[in-house]
Amino acid sequence: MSAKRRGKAVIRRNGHSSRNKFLSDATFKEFDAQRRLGDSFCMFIKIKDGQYRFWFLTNTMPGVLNFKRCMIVILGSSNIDVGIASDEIKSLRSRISEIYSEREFHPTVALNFLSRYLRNSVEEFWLLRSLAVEFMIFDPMFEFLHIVRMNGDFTSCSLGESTETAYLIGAYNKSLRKKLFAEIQAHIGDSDLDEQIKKFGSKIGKKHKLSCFLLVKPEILSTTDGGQSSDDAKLPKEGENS
Amino acid sequence: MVTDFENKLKMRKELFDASLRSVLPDSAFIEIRQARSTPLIQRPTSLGNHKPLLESGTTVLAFHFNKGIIMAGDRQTSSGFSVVSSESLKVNKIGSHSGFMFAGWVGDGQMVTSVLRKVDADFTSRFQMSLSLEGQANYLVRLMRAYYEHGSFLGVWGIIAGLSVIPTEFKIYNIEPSGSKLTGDFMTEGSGGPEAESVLKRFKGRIKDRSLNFKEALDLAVSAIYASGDTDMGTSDVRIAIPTIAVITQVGFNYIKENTVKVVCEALIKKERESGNVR
Repeated sequence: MSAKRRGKAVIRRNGHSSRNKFLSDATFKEFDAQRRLGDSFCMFIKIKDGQYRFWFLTNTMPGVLNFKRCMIVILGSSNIDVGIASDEIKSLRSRISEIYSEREFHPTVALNFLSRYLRNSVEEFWLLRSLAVEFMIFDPMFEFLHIVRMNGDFTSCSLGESTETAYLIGAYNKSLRKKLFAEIQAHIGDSDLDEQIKKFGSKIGKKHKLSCFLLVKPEILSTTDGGQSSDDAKLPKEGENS
Repeated sequence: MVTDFENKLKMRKELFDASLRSVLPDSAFIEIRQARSTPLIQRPTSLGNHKPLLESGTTVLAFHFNKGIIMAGDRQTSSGFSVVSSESLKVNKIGSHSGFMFAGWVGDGQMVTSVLRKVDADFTSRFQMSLSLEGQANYLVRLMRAYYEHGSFLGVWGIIAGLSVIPTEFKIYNIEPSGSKLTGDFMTEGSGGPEAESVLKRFKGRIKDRSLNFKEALDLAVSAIYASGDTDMGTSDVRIAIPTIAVITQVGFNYIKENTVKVVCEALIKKERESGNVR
């Protein structure tokens, strides 16, 4: 959000018609959520067919939920926001299991719900702050990726067909975003990509005061084990907290 | 006194419910009002020494074979001692890979069939993915239970079968009006159910091993319906009405052509005649 737009939102918030107030409240909440997310980010890197990396640089531990038919990565501004989002997703799974079955809790259902939930939390007048969380939703075979932003907007893509090498949530800082994508593009074909990312991540972490660095290989979710879904994070940690 | 924290919890719950309601189709939510508005009918369970009315009037069965599941049902609908129709279709397609059959009250059964189809269609149109067999079975159980808990019940003894995902396997469920859900290698329902079951039990091992091929499964299904029709007055004789048979395989739900079933029926009758069991 530009400084000019921010200023107008503040002015509008202080008075005038209820419609304007509603719009300014919603805009203000979005701005507030962006500000709280800050420079934290999660990047999903597609190295080559079947090889991926998750790169986190945040101040709070991200949440990862594995289910039978989807995996959801949660990036939040605080542990409480990640916790609330995680609880709502688990409640959703429980309700879907109750209404239909656990097999119905797949990425499209999660995407629709989270998008509307975040949109409602931005637009609800009694909520002073919306949740500052963003999500990446994957199917078990990593064929599709859905990204849900903190204001409810979402994008979907087919990982196999897409030509992009990196997908980003968070990082609401234009120059940081540019640097991240440029760095990945420059080293995507290198054999020591992990080392390059660690070096670069350490530099950025110090500059933007982000203390939690993780670089992990995602484990392919098992869907043939007789239905034992786990809510624990399955990502093996290859990176380290700096 | 309601605290501010409790208010926030309540409002967050409302936010969750509102988001969920906007995502799922309306058919997902069984309105309790619907069940309560149904008048409490004292459904007769029997008439003196006669068979219970609720279970009379049909034979439906389903069992596994090597490629999937075969479902069969007779064609007769009866009311008391009268045959109302000999052309009833009792094997109903629900989703692309599932089917439903029922014994009991025809009106209730038809309503349940249409509700299941609607639920599957709504889910598919909303999420571009069809409802799983477990989802359909669980929904049916909830529907039965909602009516049962409100003093009325749906007079439907159903068999729902199809291809389940994660893990991918064929399954058969038996659902009763109280909301119970049972699974097995073969299921039968209706007044002719016990006779059909005794025929299927002779091949229990091969059904369990999934070693019956399509021809053997078709022969067995027709034999079971024939045995029921021979004994039970609520089940039509295969000489009068060709039973409805469908298969569910990896490809999907398909009805077997009546001519194919007719050939099998005629072969069976011929064999029975040669044995002297039928004049």
